[in-house]
Amino acid sequence: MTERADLRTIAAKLLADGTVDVLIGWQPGSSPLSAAPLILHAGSAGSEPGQAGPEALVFDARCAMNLVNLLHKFKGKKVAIVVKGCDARALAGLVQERQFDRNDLVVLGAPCAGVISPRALARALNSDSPDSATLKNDRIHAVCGGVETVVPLSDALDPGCRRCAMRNPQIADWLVADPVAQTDASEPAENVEEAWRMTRAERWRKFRQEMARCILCHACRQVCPACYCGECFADQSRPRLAGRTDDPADAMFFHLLRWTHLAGRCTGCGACERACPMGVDLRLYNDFLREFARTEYGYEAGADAQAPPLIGGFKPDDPNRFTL
Amino acid sequence: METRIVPQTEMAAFVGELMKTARVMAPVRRDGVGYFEWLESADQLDATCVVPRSSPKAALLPRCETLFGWRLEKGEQRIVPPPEPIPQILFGLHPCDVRAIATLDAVFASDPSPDRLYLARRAVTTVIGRGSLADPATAFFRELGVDPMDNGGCDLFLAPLDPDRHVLEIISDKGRALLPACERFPKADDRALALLADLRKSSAAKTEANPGLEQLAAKLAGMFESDLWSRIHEHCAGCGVCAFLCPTCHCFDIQEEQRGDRGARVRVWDTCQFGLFTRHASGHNPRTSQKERLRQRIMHKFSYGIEKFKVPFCVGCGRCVGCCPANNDLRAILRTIRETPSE
Amino acid sequence: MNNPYIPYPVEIEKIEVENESRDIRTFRFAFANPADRAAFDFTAGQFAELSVLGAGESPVGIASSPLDRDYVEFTVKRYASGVVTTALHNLQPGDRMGIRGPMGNGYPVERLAGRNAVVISGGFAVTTLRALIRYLLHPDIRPTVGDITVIYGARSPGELCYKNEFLDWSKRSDIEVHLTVDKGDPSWKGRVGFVPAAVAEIAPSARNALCFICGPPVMLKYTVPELTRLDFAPEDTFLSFEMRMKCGIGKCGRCNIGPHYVCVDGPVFSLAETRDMPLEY
Repeated sequence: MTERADLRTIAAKLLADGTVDVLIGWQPGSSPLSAAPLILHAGSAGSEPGQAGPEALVFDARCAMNLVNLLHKFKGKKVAIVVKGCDARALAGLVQERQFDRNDLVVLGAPCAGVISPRALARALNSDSPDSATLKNDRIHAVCGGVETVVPLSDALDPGCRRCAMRNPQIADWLVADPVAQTDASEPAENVEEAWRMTRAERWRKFRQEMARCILCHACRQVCPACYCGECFADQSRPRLAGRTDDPADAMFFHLLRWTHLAGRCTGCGACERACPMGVDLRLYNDFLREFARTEYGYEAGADAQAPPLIGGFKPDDPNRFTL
Repeated sequence: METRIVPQTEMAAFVGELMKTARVMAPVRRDGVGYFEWLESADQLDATCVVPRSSPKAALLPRCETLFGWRLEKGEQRIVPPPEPIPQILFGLHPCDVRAIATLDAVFASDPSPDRLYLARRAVTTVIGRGSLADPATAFFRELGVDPMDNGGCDLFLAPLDPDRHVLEIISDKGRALLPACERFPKADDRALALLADLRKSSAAKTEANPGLEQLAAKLAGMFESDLWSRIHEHCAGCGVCAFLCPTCHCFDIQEEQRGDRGARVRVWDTCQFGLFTRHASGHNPRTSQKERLRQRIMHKFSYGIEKFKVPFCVGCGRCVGCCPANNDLRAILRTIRETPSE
Repeated sequence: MNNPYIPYPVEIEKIEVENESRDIRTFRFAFANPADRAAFDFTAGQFAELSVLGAGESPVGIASSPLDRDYVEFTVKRYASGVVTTALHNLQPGDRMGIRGPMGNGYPVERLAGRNAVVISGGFAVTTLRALIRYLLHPDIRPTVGDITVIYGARSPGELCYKNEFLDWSKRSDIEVHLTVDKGDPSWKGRVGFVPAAVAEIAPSARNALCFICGPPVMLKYTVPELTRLDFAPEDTFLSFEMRMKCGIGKCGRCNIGPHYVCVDGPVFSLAETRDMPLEY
């Protein structure tokens, strides 16, 4: 049964008693309302002056990156990792795909009421470079160009978090905060509904516009826990599949092929969109994928670490209206 | 030097005049985020943006640039030279971004083979800088000796006096060529110029006069085997955000584009953060992990660049600080390097 | 000022398969415009970008002598993942392609006046040293240098590049050629053993000599200590490096070893220079 624990205490204990080699969590970041990963190694955590130890660990709405992505760097080690509900699903997905043995992992579940999206925050403040910003009682107090603004935290949350139905991590060994209230999962995603209401031409225009913004920095791929191919199709040289020009067709090809690989695997954590420097609406297309998986196959990626992956399990009565 | 007063409310009109003479890249704001973009109309201008997220380097080193084209004619491949660049104005550049252009100039003009494509584009580029009295939270240009009121490297410079006014300084011949667009503004009076002189003085006082970059370069040269690198790469995701937003990062790849009987050789942005960057055709890769790649990034910026081109490949704009998905803060890395005892 | 990215047009005159694995070929090019050959003035050790439109470019050391005035030769190994090398290997004599260069610094041949040359190489890396040997053996140049000693090895007799040329040279009296193979075959009557062992045994004299060495990393690793034992000064020992390159003119930023851009400051460095370089190649 999942036990309640204090994040810093349990982290210090796991590192000290040799349960894990590495602990991956969060510490306050250096720019306003940001957090940075904190990676602690057993035996050396906090031993050098100026180097943070378990006491620096935090969890709150700033902790936006999906740390499961960093797990790939520590294959073969015993690792404790702090996960939000969505991150836990990504982790379950990797266990399903046999990337990690669940027994090598100590999962510190952080119930999460939503994380700040840089994009939503910039929209709320009409600035992406506040002089300072702090979070107090679900309100953001920011100073932009010398002028103080207060906006509710909810305005700065990732839109995906607002309708999140996986706030409490499912596969945690320890919970490092009290569970939070869930939302109803049965509602279809608003953004997807809205896109379906568009005409084909409008949808195409929107897609083209989003793709024209992409600069192919590959941040979406690099922060995605599900993107772990030894060699990405986009990096293959023979045959070279993906171009890198500013023709939106190259961005389209990259993202479409990536989404093909993420179908039934993306858990909707939104890390990619929060990492995107150009404000591409990646969530919309990820949500499309998740809606398809849900409505066509009754499948939620990462909901069950024991289940076979959607793409890996064939049933004779699988719907086939996507078959070409 | 000729000077004028430009009211903040007239900024878009000024840009409108400039757009009659050349294409203009300037800050725009979308969903609260500033970007440098080619303007389609003057009202797109965001005259409040200090350091837009995307850098103006795209005007000099486009994300994708044709080196030359080719087509098949009666079985023969014919080379088609790229089009000559058209006049362009970069408007509202923060002095750190202007300094970044000097870095690009140093690399692309370097012997033995100056890059004619870059230099041709540079020759038709007019730089209009805009000073700033408030530093963005993530910026660290003062640490590197860049004064945000310095007009060096600019053809025209907008020096802020207060939220409502800038002094327009007409500095170079290229700047003077734009006089017709400036003449609508009144000449700056002595009081305004005295105020500007005061503002410059206090800005200079807050800027590191001796950033010690040569010493930093020399120190870093001895830190190749430091364990610092094994510590700072662990949370780096290996994306290209830092490099692609950076105003000085200029590494590129050369690729082939082909459609039927015609094609082009193009250069596209690339970065030392990508694993493919140094991989030989044989499969051998001198930089196998993010540790080596991040080290290369820091070394190139603060050691190799200074040693080879006499300029740092960083101007402290802070874009990489604010946009790194893992908040791997370059300022903190620099601090650690400076604090590491020399061997 | 010219666009430095546009290659000179050349025509393939001749293609020679160099090894039994058939993945190494020597291409002889003639310049479509004779003036381009004159402009393509190089030193042994320099390289050029071979350009196949639609496939790309590949940096390759120049294998012919600067004094082979009518043509230039390049020896290219085909890699499974190499787009350009594969495209090159599919070309035929008479086909047109492009060359951009010459690039890099080349061997310091001017320092060889009145001195001896020791040339050590392994496998396919011999290409620019073959250019150097051809240059030194030119009737105008040969009298200006002292003794020439060559030690060249390959995995097997069938993998020795320019085999006939080396066998011809070994019959001459004005050059001492030692060929060795890691593993012989029934037809091989020569030396068997690795290059470092051959160097130790032959023990070329360091007196008044410059040494030029080019080979796979493992060969370099074990040969350099032998050279040190033989008293070759690090300032007089030269190596040639290979890095992934694109522009070839010091702009694209990918071929550096420390502050040295291999495409411009190299590919030839003295052993003394490499001692200050980070181990990242």
